[in-house]
Amino acid sequence: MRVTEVDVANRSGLHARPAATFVKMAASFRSDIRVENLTRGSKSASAKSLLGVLGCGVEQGHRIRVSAEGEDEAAAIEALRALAEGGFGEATQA
Amino acid sequence: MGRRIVGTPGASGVAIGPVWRYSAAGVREAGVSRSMGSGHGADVSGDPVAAVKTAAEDAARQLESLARHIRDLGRVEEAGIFEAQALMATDPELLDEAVAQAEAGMEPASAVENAAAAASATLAALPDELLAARAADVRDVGARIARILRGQAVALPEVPSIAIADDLPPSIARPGRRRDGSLRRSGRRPGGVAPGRIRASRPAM
Repeated sequence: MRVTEVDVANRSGLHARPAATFVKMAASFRSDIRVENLTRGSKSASAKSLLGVLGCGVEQGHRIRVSAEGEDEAAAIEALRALAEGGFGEATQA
Repeated sequence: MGRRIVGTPGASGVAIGPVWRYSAAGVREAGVSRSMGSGHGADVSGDPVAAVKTAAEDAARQLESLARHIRDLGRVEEAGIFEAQALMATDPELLDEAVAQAEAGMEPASAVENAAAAASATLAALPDELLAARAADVRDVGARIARILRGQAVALPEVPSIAIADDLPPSIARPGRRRDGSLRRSGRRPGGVAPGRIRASRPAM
């Protein structure tokens, strides 16, 4: 299993559009991928479920943990970490 | 002599036109009004699980098509909402719950509505307003899948109209069709709806 933790920097956090981007990327991998909001203490959710990711309630400044387990876990974690650190394609200033 | 209806406008200004009423309950009571999508979700050989999955895929295709149309109009942000709704339609959490209820004997459309209501309640409870506002999107998606399963459709107005509703779902409020105004009796406005006249070139449902 591979794990990474990232501070979410984009203004809207994991709102619908960035969450959809995150879910689509997660779904492109075969590994089982989970996400949890460490700041809020949410239950972990499937990173391939938009409702699950939205339900984590991730806002700007929250810290998330992403874990992947499977044949492409390393690539999955690397790609999702890069996406998160890049603000999910959204602006990252306050 | 006219009749006065009091509510919250979708946008400021003055609109003149015929009234078009939207009621989710009215859609359910009206039964089949026209076919939509593949429209055969409820005909999957009496298999409720297959019916739910087929209807969900139909709904996702409709929403993806709507998103492309809105994106082509240059309204990229709005298109993103419909793209997210397309993902919701086939979301594993939503479908797993709906399928479990359908397998337990619940009518498939009701199973989807229940699953969407549960997911909606989870989102509505979030402290962040932007995230909580997505609760309406989930209910909208659930209603769309349920209509497909029941073979129903929203009868859209033929001419530019003033929409009156207790609650105007996102994919009905924003599909890029022409609408002269809207009035919500619930007093709530759907998030992200652009004010003003909206030109329609295709039905959303």
